[in-house]
Amino acid sequence: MLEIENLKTNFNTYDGVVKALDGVNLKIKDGEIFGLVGETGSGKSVTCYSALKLLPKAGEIVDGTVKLNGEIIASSDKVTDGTNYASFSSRFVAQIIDSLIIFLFVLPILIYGTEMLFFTVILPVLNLLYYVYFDSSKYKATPGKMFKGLVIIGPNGRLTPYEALLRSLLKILSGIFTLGIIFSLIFFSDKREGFHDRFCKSHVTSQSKQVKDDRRIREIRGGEVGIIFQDPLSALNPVMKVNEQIGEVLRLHREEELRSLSEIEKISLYSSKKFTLSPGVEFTIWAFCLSFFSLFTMIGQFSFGLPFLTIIFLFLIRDFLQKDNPESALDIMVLDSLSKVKLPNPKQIAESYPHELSGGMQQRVMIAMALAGNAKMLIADEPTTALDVTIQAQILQLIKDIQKENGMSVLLITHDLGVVAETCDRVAVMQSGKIVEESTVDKIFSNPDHPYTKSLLDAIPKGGKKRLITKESNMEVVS
Amino acid sequence: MSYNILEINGLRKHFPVKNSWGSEIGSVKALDGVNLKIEQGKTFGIVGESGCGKTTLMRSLLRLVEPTSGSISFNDESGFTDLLGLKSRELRKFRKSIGVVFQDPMGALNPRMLIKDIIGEPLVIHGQTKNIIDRVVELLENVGLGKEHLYRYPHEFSGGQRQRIVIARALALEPRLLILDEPTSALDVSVQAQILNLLNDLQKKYDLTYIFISHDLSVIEYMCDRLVVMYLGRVVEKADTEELFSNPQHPYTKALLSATPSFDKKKEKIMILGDVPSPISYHDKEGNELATELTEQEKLEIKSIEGKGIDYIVRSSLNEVLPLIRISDTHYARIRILND
Repeated sequence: MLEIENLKTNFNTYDGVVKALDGVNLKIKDGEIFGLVGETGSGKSVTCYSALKLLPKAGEIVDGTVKLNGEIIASSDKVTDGTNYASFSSRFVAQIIDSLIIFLFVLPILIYGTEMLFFTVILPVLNLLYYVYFDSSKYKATPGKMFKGLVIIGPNGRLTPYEALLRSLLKILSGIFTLGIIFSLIFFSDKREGFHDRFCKSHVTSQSKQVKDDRRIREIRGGEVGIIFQDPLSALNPVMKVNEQIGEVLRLHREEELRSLSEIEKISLYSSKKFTLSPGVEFTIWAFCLSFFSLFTMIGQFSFGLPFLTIIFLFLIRDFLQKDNPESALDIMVLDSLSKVKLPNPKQIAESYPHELSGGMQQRVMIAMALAGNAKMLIADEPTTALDVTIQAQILQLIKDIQKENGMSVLLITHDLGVVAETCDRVAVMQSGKIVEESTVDKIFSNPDHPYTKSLLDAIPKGGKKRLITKESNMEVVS
Repeated sequence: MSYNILEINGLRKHFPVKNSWGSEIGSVKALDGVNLKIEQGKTFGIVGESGCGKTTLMRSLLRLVEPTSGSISFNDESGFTDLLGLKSRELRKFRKSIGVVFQDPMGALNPRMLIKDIIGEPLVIHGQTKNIIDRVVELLENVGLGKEHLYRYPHEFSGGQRQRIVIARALALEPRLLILDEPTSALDVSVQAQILNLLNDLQKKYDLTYIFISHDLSVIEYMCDRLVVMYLGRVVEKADTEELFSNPQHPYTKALLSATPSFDKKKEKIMILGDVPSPISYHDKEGNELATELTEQEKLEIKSIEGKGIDYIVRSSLNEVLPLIRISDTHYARIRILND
């Protein structure tokens, strides 16, 4: 399923290069629970972040590949397969052109509205027509009322044909640019791919591979590979309801299923709610409308206040105008994914915010989110460290159950050897960026080969008052 | 000669719950009648899940929260002290005799103070400034650090070393009792082992008494002589460590012991189903007792677990308050007596 070959990741710090991973080899088979154990700083989490290209800016993959089902999803950032990525200078030029366009054309339209279209598109065309069809050298420009102040006039009231053509062409060019931008914003607006990327594609062709790669990795994250993090409360968004957060995953990764569901059931795709704004916004609108209405009434212009009165009226009868929609396809799928993780009354939980749930429930919601994109592989990064033992047992049982039901593979990253012993099929022990031992659970706990594994096992307090065997661990690898 | 260094009787702490108008509508019973006797020179363990009142108990021992009712008495060479009767100046003096080590060492150390200032601060506060640097060095050497660490900041140390510094500071005023609030839960196993060894050495050297709060049962089993299990503000079982681990009586203790991950795959598992009930009890509700019927989630979980051959207990069944029953001289538990 997941294959990591000779992965080397470095972190560039002010003190030098930290070799976080130093040649990691891992193979996770289909439908197995694989444990990755190690101390703080041994590179467990960095392994999972490099595999999904989630490394912070200072981190970089130096060597090695990560394959998911045989497809390379992450490899070293250096050139390996003969593809030329965009050079710095071409990216720089593209960025300058980008910002020029935005400052010259996009911002005016955003600020002054679509009337700017008239100045940037229609007017240049008219100008051109004007000078192409009339011989401007003979014709003294005396613009009519309509074009007064708009038509280009030279210092002596005339323009040479060449000048006129040049100016018109410039204007037309700007118009075309603006139109292109507007159209691309309207019709191709794909938030997953920045405007910059799209623009660069036409100029710097070699970057398209990177764009493609980026798109693919975004499909994988949360889609084929789900992740659960250590602290559910900081991983969940505190200002979004649970159903919005799970809905986001579903929209991004299971759009087609949503569409087909809505067609079959003949229900709306996303929204089932009546039109409501947040209380603050509603209050502002109310206050605004009321004050304007009363202002106009006071100054004796009742008719000007009528539109505001209408808005207030519409707000009042809003509930009668709107029908109660049935559940949308999104709602159904959100509830479905919540009930998969054995949450009671999913409807109530879907409508609550993360802080209203207990730690165990939050972690269940996280698992539901990770699985919402039909994950074939689940990466659990210390999923139970923040939980109590009894809740931990519940969550581990849940992960095991789901793994059995879906037949997916699980990569369990933890520092608790007991958790590994209970849940995993195979284990790898990491020490300072290397895997020092990898075998089945039974073997590693009954008969460990590597001295480091032995020392880890010895350090666990057991019954009896024997002095614990310790060893100084040095984890910093700075070169 | 062994005597009880600390005796706690009927300790209650109820936090008021207020509605938006500010009037009291209920209370959180963080501690609800706790009786403990802690023997001098031994390690006393407190186990329980988050929200069961461990930390409130610890804080009320230091009078960082004022208990609602009950009594705490502290005995040492100088005599008997009633902790809850102390005036603020006496209290300040008294706090010398109890040291605390908190869970997160980085949070407990001021990042802008040098180590010598951090460890010397309690000495300065209590006016023991004679040869203060020598005393600080002695304390550092006690915990396995040295002179060279005096002029450094906390961020220059690893997690284990920071915890050592916190321990050194706690020992600065030569306390008789040390409260250890999850001292190793933020550490790796190998570092944890070093800290536990250190604590054992210090105990022997200074004849200290420890109150060890943790949710890691393997650490508790290793460290403690006597143990209480707390659940929702009450002590549900107390016994000597060996007795408790070999012969747990209360269903929650049984489940807790079985929930600890272990290498023994054959170990019998008892799952606890359901979520922790809210400890808030409202005044207007009748009886103030928590419901003992099955909740929705428990029904769901029972359904999912049925037929898998896993034993389980249900949270709502633990809500009932039973009397503490003597099982042997040293072993008490809140269990139902069967008449037949």
